[in-house]
Amino acid sequence: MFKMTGKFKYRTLMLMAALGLSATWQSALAHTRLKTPIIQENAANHGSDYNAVVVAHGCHNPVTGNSDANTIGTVVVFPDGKDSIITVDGQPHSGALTDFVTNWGNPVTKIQDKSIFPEEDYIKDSLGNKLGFWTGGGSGLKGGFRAVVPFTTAGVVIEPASCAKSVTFVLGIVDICEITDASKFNDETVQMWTPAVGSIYDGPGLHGFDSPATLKVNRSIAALPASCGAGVDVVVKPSANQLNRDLRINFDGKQIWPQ
Amino acid sequence: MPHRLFQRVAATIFTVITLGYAGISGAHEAGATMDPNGTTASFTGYALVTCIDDIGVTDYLVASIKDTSPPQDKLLVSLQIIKGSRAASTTDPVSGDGNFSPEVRVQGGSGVYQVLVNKTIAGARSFVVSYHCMTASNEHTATEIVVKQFE
Repeated sequence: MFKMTGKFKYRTLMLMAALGLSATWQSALAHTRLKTPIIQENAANHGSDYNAVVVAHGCHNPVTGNSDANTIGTVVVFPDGKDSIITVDGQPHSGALTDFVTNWGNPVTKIQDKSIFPEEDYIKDSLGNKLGFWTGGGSGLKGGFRAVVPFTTAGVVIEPASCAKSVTFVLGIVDICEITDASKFNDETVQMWTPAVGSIYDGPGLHGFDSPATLKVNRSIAALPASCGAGVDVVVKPSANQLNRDLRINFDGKQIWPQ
Repeated sequence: MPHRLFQRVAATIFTVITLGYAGISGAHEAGATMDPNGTTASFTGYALVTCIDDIGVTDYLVASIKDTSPPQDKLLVSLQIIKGSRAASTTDPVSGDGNFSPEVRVQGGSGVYQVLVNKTIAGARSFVVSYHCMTASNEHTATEIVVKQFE
C-alpha cells in the first residue's frame, strides 16, 4: 500500500478536482455533432465519405438533475438545396445553391446499424432523393453513454467558377427521449440541434437552441478564380418549411413523431 | 410507454411509397415509369451523375437504357449524356425484349454529368437505366446520382 505524503495527497486531490471539472465541462459542451465535421470536396472513397452522428448525451433527467435520460431515437435532415437559406460570408444570398454547388440533392446514405436502435429508414424528397434518416426503437441509448450513428455523404462538387472556398451544410437533428407533439418539446422530451429558422423545431430557451451540427466542405478540386481573392464561405441552412415537412418519423406508413 | 410505438415486430414491412419516380440504387441502375398516365409525349427525366476519382481517375461515363414495357408502335425510350461540350444519345430499338440499348459514353473525366431520359410519343414506359463512371482502363470509379426532375 502506498503511503501518501501530504504533498502527494494535495497533488492527487488537485488532479482529481481537475479531472472532475474537465468531465463536467466536456459533458456540458458535448452536443450532438458529426464525427467528422469537415471534409474535402468530392473526396468520397467508393462513392461515400464515411461519417456518423454522435449523440453525446440524453435528455434532462429530473430525478438525477443530469442529461442522462435514455434516448429512444434520433432524426437527421440535411438541407434540400431547393428553398434553403444561403449566406455568403454571413450575408444573405438570393440566388440558388447551384451558384456554389453543382450536384447537391441526394446527400446521404445510411449505413445499416441496429446496434443501438433496431429501426431505421430514410427521409426522402418527392423524387426519391435521400435527404436524411431516422433511427429509433428498442431500449435505445442508455443515459451516460454515447451513440455513434453511422452514415455516408455523397461527394460534393463546388462550382468551379464560383468564389466559394468552403460550403457548410447545416443539419437539423433531434434526439428524442419521449414521443410527444411539438407543444411538449422540452429538455426532458427532446434534445434539438437545429438552426433557429422559424420551424417548430427551434426550441427557444432549450438546451441546444440554435446550436446545430454542421458539415463543412472545403474546396479542394478547382482552384479559386483569380478574381475571387481569398474566396468566400458559404453556409446553407434548411428552411423552416423543409424542417417542418421533413424532420419527422414515418413508421409503418404513419407519422409517429412528432405526434 | 411512448417508445413502444417503435417496438413493432422486426418483420414489419415498411410502407413503400410508390410515386412513380426514379428509384435510386447503389448498384448504379435506376428504374421507374415515365408518363404513367400515358398523356405526356414530352415527359423527361433529368438526373445528375457525379463521377468521383477513388480507385483511379475517371475517364468517362457509360450508360444505356432498357424499355421493360410491352412493344408499342413508334413508342421508344432514349437516354442522353451531356457534360461540357460533349454529348451522346442512345435508344432502345426493341421494347420489352430484355435487352439494353447500345451503350453510349461521354469522355468528360470526373465531375458532374447530366443524364436525360425521354421517349418518342405519349404512352407509359417502364424502363431501367444503367450508368457507370469508368477509368480509361475500364475500372469502375465511384458513381452517385441526384434526380432533379421526373415529369
